[in-house]
Amino acid sequence: MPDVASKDFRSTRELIRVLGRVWQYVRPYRSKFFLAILFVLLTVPLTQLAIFLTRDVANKALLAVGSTVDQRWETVLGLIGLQALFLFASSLFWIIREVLEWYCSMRASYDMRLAYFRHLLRLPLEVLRQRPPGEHLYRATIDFYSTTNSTGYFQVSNQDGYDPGVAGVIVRLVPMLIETLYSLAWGAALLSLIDPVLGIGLLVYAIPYNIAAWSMYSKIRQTQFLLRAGAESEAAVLRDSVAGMRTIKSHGRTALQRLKFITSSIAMRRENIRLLGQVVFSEHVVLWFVRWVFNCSVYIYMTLQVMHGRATIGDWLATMLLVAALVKSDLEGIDPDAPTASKPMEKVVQIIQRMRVDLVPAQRIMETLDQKPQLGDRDNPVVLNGLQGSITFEDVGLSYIEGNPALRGVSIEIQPGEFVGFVGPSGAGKSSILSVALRLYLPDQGRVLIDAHDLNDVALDSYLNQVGVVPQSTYLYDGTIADNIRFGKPRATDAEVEAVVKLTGMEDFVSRQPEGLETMIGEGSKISGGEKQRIGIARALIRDPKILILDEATANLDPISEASLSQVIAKVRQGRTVLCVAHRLKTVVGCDKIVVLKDGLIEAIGTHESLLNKSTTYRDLWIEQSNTPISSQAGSGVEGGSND
Amino acid sequence: MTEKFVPDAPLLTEEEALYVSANFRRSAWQAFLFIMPFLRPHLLRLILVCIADIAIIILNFIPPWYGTYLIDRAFPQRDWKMASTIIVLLLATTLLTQLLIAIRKFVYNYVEVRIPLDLRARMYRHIQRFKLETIDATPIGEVLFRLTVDTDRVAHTIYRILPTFTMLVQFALILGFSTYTDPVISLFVLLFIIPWTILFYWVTSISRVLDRRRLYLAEVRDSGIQQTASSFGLVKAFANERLERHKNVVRAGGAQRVAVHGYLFLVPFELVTQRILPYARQTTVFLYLSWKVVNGQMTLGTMVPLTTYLNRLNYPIERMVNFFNWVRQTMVSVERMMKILQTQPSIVDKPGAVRLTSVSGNVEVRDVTFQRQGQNPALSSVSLTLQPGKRVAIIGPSGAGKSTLVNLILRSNVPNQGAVLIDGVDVRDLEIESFLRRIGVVNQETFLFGGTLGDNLRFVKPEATDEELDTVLRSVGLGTFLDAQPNGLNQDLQSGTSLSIGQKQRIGIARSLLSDPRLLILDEPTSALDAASESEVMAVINRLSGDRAVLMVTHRLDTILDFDEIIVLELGRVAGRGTHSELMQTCPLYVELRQSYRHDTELSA
Repeated sequence: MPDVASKDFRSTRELIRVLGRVWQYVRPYRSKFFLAILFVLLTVPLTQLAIFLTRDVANKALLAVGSTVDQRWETVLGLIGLQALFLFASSLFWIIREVLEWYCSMRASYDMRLAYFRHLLRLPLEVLRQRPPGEHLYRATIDFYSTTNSTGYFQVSNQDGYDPGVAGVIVRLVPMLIETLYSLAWGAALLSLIDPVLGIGLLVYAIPYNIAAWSMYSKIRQTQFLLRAGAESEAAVLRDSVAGMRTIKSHGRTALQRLKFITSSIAMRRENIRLLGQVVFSEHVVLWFVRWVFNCSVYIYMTLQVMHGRATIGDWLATMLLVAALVKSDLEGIDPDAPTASKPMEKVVQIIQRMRVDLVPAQRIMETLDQKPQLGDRDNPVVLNGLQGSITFEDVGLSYIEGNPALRGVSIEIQPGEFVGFVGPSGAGKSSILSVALRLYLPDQGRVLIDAHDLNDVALDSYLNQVGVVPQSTYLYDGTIADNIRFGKPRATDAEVEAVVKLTGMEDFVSRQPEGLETMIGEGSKISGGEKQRIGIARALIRDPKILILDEATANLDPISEASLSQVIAKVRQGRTVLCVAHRLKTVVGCDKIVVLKDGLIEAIGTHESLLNKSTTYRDLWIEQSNTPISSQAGSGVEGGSND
Repeated sequence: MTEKFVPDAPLLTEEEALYVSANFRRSAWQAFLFIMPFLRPHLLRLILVCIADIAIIILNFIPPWYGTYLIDRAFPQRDWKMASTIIVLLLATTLLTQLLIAIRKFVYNYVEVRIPLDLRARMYRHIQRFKLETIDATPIGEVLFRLTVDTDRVAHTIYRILPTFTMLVQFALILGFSTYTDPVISLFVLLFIIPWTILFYWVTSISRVLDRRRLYLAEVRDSGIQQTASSFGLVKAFANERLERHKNVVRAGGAQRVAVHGYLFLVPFELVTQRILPYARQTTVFLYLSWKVVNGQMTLGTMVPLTTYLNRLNYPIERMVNFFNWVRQTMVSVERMMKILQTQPSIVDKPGAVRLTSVSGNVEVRDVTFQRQGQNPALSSVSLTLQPGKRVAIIGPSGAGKSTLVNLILRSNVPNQGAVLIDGVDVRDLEIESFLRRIGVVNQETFLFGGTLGDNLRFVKPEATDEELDTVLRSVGLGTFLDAQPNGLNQDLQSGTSLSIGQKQRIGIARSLLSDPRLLILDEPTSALDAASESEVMAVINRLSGDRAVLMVTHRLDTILDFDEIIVLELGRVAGRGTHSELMQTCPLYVELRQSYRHDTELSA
């Protein structure tokens, strides 16, 4: 899991850089983005003017003693009509802005999603393998969700909202910030119309309030980070407790584990309560007090003005309404998530703080997008059609980590149609040979020739499309059995799929499935290791490969499945070059050529018989795997006896 | 860690939704009974909050009234005394309200913090009592989901009961006041609120259906990403990047399209429910009140608080509709949690159980029979004895009862007949954990906890010194592994994601040996290993068994040739026992098992 908890933006430059990177994805939709901002600029004055009109309704109509009832009613109708017009126009602008922003943000995030995935697949395998699948998943999914959800989205579906995606950090928050500042400016201007003291007062009040809010929220955010770290560690304890239950119970350590859980849980509680204390203290004591002083001052000032006859009752009313629209009222309701809670004055700091938090996932996304992709084919690569299947390794060296080579100068010549086994102790470089042959890794020295072409000059896809690979354990994708086989050749016909099913001896297995080849399978489904490997072989064979690569394809199987898979392999090896990496020597005993590797070097090449004499490593392995000499002799002696 | 990450609590599945609607009353009652015990410890706090809430509501009603007096009396009559009284009162009221709000927030949020943790602790306690066989059959992701998302969801609804209730009170008070002032106002208000409520509820229901489809497609998209992320090597080896990219575009596009459709569908309703209807109501009432003021039937002062109050009407209804949806979801969560809480727990220690301070390694399984209700006996009349220095293997085809036998020794189950004696004491009379802590158990797969290598070992012996850990790691052949770790024992193992199965298994053995147990129970310790690692691990086991009693379940027959006794189980019965050479003469099943085991070697030879 990425370290969500402790990350934060320390430098403003980094913050601006990430914003700039996100903007590159918003840019194509900038016309809509700017249009949305334009609508913000239209909406704000309309709503505030509608409030401001109350002054005239009160002064010119409701309290106009001089005029007749009819005249007054006419004024009321006119003013309220105008007010209604403003309100409805602002509603329309509001919804247009919502849709534009959402669309723009969603599209930009979608483009980012696709770009991310595209880029991910272009990264070299060694980079991809630096992160566990879980973290890849997190970065490719959760990071793309917006965290801005709670700041004023559609109410109807507020259960989870229509997520505008990570681009919301610009598309959503920037107009919101503009709206907020613009509202304050309009508010100050309209208040100045009533009484310049009020306008200036509002602007002056903004200074202490925002300073106080900034310091309070910074502290709260730190606690929130701590809290998230606590939540993550609690989740880790929970995961361990559930996934490792058998271990915990069979070691008699339930009490210890529960203690761990309770400790982390109590720590969480303490942090939570601390956060709570901070929130209540800052929100309901400090910030409230600053607000209260301002609100009461306005109330008292306006009341005195009216009493002195320097302002009208309409002025008084309009001031109260305008201030309530700009500054959080003290008469807030009880509900913790009432939508009316924050007013423009409070929002300024909140939005900026929010932006900093929201940019963290965006930063992670950019980190991946900025990684250097794998080198592609060179210009005008050789397109390999009708592969023969000869492979030549010329002095190939490879190191994953500097100074720790996995292969150091390996040279092998493999003829078309040869069955070549690779054996050796763990870490000898068996799998590295295969990786180099597939151009998953580029050798640091030497080269690989395929049908006399340097592999680096070959159009990789044209080559790999004629190669079939069977890994140690076959990964099953969610989908039907046929889909999984078609992974090897997406456009394979039904007949081709059926042929390959027959070839790999999967007919029985398929016919036992409720819907035959159309049965849904996946990593979670209960399919035996043997059947999985058969699917893996079928997947490789459906592309009718000239080169078949078996990477410990039978290592994980029980003896019976292993034997029957060996038969399948023996059947399909005709006309193909087969490279087979194995731990168990019995898998490679029948090979045309066995390559014994040790410490990244070739120790010997030959057939089984010749190697027993030539290679000590091979002989040692052979003796070790045919069991401890004494008991195995005793065993086979008795066995032989009972067989007779 | 590859389990599915759930960004938002997913909505109910179709079946769950149907189930809840069909059993609404029963479910609601059940949920209520389930929740009550968690509220009881906070009863005093809840009462306090309730009183504070009502007080705040009433206090909230007062400030708008000051306006009435100012506008109608103080301003026109230049009544300084009244004006100053009102200002003082206003300061006092707001101060008092804020004080109450702050106290109330703190007290109630404390409940908010406590309830999910309490719920989780309750579930946790129960899950820890699961039987071993229940654990194996329970999907981990699902249990974690119950422990986290479901508990949070239930807690979320619990602590929203009270605010929703007070909202209701506020709503009633406002409507009552406006009816008292002028029934026509209430009529106008209801005229707008009733269609608003119906529309809101209706759109919420529809959007729930849309959400389900949208979330499903998002899930498909994300699980596609997960699959690609789990098979990068395969994708690259097959040169299938383009195919995967295409699949991703299709999946992401599908999810996106549904999101756009859903969003655009909601737009007009949002406009109407969020803006048009409330504004229309506001304007109508304002117009009506102005008409009354113009005609002298009402003062401007009375009109001011009325409009303020009426503006507070929207939110309560929205809240109530949403609350209803929460309740529905919560009931499903409660159902799911109940299902877990109803699982039968494992055997509890007797009062006065014997606490073992050492285990010498003498185990006697005396003629045990074990049968689950309504099933064939899993074990019948099986006996075995273990003593220090003796190695016993249990083999047999799958379903023969090998694991059942081990579970009886570990007292995950108790036999229907016969007894398991540890150093002469019946396991039923033991404090089971005191026994388990003093033996070594190695499972088929070693589970590594998050944390360092040292943490993972100290898990069985918290007081172990670094030297002890070092010694035990070297004794299982992990010396070079340990030396290769940059931080040594403090190396974070990341739950073992980067270790080979052989290394993990050896850590498992090291862990079991740390407390130097006299009895080792190995449950298929090499079944997940390839040939090379298997022989390495077996060599470690053979070297370290020494004077310990060893019981090993296995189906790798080559690993047990020199064991002191091999017990062959078939369908819960002992089909043969003795050493390898004895069994080759006396036990046809053993010969058969060995033959099929060797079968492939002969084939390829």
